Amino acid sequence: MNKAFDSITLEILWSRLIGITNEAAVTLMRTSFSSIIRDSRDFSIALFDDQMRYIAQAEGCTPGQLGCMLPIVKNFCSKYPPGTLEPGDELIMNDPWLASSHLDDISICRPIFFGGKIVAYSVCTAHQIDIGGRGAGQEHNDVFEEGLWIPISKLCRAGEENEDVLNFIAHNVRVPEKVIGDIRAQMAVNHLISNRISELIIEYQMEDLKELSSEILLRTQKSMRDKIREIPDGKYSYKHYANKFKDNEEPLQICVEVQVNNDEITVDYTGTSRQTYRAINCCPNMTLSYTLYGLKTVINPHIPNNAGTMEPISLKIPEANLLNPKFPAPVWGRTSIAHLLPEAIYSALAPVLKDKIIAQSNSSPLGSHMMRGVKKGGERFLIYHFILGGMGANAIKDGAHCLSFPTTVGNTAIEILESDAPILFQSKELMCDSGGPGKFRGGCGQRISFIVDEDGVEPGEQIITMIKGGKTDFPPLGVLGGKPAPTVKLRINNKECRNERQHVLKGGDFFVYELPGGGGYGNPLERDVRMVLKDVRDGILSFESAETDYGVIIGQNGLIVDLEGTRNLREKLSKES
Amino acid sequence: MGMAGREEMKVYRLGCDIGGTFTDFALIDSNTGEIIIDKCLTVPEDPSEGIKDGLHKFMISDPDFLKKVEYIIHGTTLVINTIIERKGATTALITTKGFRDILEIRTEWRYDIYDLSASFQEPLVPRFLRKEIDERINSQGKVIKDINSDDVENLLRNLDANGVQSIAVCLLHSYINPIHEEVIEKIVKDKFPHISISISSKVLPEIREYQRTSTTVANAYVKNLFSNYMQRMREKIEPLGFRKEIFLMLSNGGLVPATVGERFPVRSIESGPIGGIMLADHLGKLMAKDESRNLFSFDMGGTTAKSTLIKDGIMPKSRDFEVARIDRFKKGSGIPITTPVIELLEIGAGGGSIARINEMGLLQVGPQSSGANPGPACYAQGGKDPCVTDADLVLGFLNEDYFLGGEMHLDREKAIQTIEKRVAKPLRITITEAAWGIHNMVNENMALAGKIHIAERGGDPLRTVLVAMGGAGPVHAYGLAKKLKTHKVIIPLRAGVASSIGFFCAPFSYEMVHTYRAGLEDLALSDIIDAFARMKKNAAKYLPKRKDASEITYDLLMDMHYVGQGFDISIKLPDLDREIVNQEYITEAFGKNYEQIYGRRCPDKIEIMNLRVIATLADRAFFLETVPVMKSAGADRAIKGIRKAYSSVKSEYVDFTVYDRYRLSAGAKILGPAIIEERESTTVLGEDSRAFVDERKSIIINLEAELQNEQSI
Repeated sequence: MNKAFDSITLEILWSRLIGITNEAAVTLMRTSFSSIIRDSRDFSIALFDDQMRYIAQAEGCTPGQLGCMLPIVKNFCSKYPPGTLEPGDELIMNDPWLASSHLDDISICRPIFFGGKIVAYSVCTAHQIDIGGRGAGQEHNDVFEEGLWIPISKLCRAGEENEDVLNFIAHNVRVPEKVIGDIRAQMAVNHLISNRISELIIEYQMEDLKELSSEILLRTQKSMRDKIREIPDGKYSYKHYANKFKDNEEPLQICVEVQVNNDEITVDYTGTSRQTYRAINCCPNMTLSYTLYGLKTVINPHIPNNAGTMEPISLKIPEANLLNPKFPAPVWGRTSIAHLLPEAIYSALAPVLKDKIIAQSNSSPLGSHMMRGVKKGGERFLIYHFILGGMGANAIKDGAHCLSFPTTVGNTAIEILESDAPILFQSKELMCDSGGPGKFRGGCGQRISFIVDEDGVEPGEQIITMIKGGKTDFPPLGVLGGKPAPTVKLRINNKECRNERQHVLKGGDFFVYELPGGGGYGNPLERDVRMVLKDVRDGILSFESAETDYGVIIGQNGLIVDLEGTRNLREKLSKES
Repeated sequence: MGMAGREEMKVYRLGCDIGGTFTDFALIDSNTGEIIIDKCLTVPEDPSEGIKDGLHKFMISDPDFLKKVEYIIHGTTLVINTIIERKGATTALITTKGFRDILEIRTEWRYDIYDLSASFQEPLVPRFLRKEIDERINSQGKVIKDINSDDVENLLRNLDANGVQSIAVCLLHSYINPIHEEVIEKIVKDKFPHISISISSKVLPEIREYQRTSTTVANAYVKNLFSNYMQRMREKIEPLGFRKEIFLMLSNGGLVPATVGERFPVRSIESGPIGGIMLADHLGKLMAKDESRNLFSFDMGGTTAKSTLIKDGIMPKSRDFEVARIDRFKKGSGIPITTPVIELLEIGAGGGSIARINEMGLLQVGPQSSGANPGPACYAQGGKDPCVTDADLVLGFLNEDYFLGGEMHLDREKAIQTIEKRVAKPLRITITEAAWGIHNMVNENMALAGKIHIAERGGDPLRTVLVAMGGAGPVHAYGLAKKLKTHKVIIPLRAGVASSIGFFCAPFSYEMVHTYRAGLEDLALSDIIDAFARMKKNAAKYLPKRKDASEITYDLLMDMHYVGQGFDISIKLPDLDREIVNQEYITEAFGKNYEQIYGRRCPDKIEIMNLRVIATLADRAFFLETVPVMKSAGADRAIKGIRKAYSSVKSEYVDFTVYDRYRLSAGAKILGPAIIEERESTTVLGEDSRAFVDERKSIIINLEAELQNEQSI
């Protein structure tokens, strides 16, 4: 077929490519052996053309992994050039610098052959529930402590599994049946995509995907450039701070300058802290990922994502930096840094994109909880799941309660976690007054608490746990007069502790994590009185906060507003500020 | 009994579909297949009133007809509309202490990764009506903390005092041990019998508290309304002489006795629209082999539009259903209801959808609907809001004197006035522009949602045939087809009441599930055989009695997965009375099936989760009458006249030829611009389309002409 695509056919083929990756995503969830893929959706699937350009991705996958895929096929092929590949091959790696920025994410790539040549590549990256090493935590001193490093290898040769590679992996992880099961599920997904692509090529009588992918990339790039042109030229900067690890240390800082020049953007991170001893260094792929993500969400959110999105955007990151660390820096918890990048970009662009941005959130950085040990009777257990704080408010709506941002992972059902581990949850509930006040309120966060089930653990065996997520030292700020949300708190047996590190638990221990919400947007004194009343009635806003933050006086029954008193109080408060 | 006597005695079945705006009836003669239809306005305060009205109309021509009805098949959109329009009971939720927010915290997953203001439906139960009870059962089903009856009673008293009408209960791990939920249920039934109760261990005994809570809450939210309505319906039709069974259409395409369906209204959430899909599917199966086997079943009524892609002749079934998706109809934005359904997309786009100017000064159509009362302004029942039907009337697509065959007069002046006042003036555009804007906008909404739906299922609109039904479907089919880029549209005869006809295509079917968790290697086969035998016997009770019990077919299924996986696939077993089934057989059957779906097998161990029996009894064979196609059949004799209507191609009013559908013979050919009037609906054809009438008197619209033109430019 040697003619330009008419717009109808293009639209259909484009949605088909996305549809194929979506079908693959559903298949992966349904065949996965771990809750981290099946329930939490911590995986990504993308399709590349024969030039190794990223052309389509499954919707709803995690933006961090997706962005890391931009150079991934080229990286795979640096070891196995196309000429060395044959139909049925699958390549594997988890190199943080070449792939998804920490060892836990395993990427598997399959060249897709049609008519004797490679017409596309499919890549599936998935967060494994364990990769050996010390596991979740930020105390690791280098990447070697973080688990098994899988160099680029052939996992499958012409459809035959490479048993040695699988054996190496199986012997280095704590729950091999889950990890190997999930790796096989990833391969199966690539296989499915490969079949679907062939069917598509036959159905539309194409020879390959060359013209289609060029058209997709061109149109995406053009749309992106058009949107960038609408932003006034200039340099917009912001300095953001990461959570501390120890009380008395200097905070790590992220300095961002967004330089808008006609239809191009350069993001300059000069001034950002040097790489750190903590396991939160963020490899350049991940930096790229969340920089692009932050920009796309406020510049051109609704177009499908592909390599065309990044064409007009470039990055400047100093060497040996928190955002560009040198091997073998520890990188496990890189989302603690990466997830702050979109917020930093929004804050920088606030003066010119105030209707598009949102206030800061306690859902970033991502909250996760790991717990492992031995069940009564000797069986090993390991759970790893996500918990999310509230999102910052925006120009038209309250922030969402407990919602994954900037990443898109889900929680795991309490009932599944309790089936997998000797843990008894005591609560998972919205926290009152946890959303930053504003004309639009920040979303609320949550309090989770659990007891380690004494009857379920093997006596004498240690239980290791780690929890992280949200902001511990610098509260999520509001914008345009909106107020901040509170910071995170961890208590073990009623004693306050720092998060982001491993703790040892025993049967009967009581664990509480408070992960509040996001910052407010706009002046809280302008908030609709009925909305304040509703929040009070629902118990997510206290009478005190209604009065002091919003200037709304509510009768003790919680059902009526003292309108007169409210008018006076709002006047008084607005003069004071 | 002699044949002669038999012919005298007519036997009917009655299909009846209550929509948000209209109640549709189809009466089929069980011997001849002849269909008689009718339609009347739904009475929102008491939908059973609409049924009575309709039956009265049939009784005018045959006072004894109800005595000749074998049974009534009933379907309704009431359940889903109640949720979409938030008109359910004041509902409370009781959860385990510490977990009342499970309903609102949801999955914490953001369904649109690039949309920063992605939001969700407000929970059906607001936080102040979500209460907690101090009790606990662990994941093995062991009671860790007993439930205290006094606590329960105090709590219920408080809820009762607050005007709560319905209660949903979802306690942790109740899928494995329902004892505490049953305690609450019993106290409600004994001491608060006026409050209705739905407990999660009965509605959806499955692990994962959020989906279970959400489904149970939806059930509770609609339960009162639904059972009151069924009660009233019986009270109204029994005095008319009907004493036989009423069957309810379930969302999975099967029929069950209404008394069974009533307990779990959430399972009939899609019961009305399913009829339309069944009819579309029936038409699809009749299509020639070389034609596309992909149909987009599109049913647009007064309140909502329901669509489904029937791909390669298969109706998509699923258990992950979502109601009331918002914003851009993204998956994950609605309220999850886990129940077996034929998947369909439902959006707030119907003849009664209200047009308004939103906060951003833009025209918005739906999802709010004026329903049957007051209805669109042109119904002249006091409706002030401009609706899609008002626009369709102003644009000349509808005939003010032939709406429901003239039974209902439409007031054109009122339609013009409200469109002028509420849309044209605020936007400073002409009335015509405003009316076209409304018509076009609702088409755009449906096309956007439809494209996503088709793409999600691996379909291609270009190779899909649109089957348009419902009162408003044929009016909008042409515009929708152009936006979807489909070439071909089928408008079945009596499209306006398609769902009530489609009910006759459904089998009686009842599904029983029994949780049976065991490793395949530890499986005691005799247990399974006994369990299946019991389930078969139980399931058969829910089907109509037939002399010959062998007419019932049983599907025996086992839900299984590899150990560690979280989703099951169902394996069909052979008749256990005849064939011997052992571990090897099951392993092989599972492996084969798994491979077919996912392309490979795993070396892992296999675990059984559930045993499932589906008992099915086919209804009488359904057929649509055919008539011979006349090659020379002219359409001219069916011309009623010429009417000015709006042309989207020319952006002005042009002459449309108006045809009487009942006078069009099979084989007749029609060129657009044309309007084809039928009592219950009106088909619109633009000038870039043509149509013919096939042997089932379906109108087949062809839009290829338009596409060829476009390509040649």
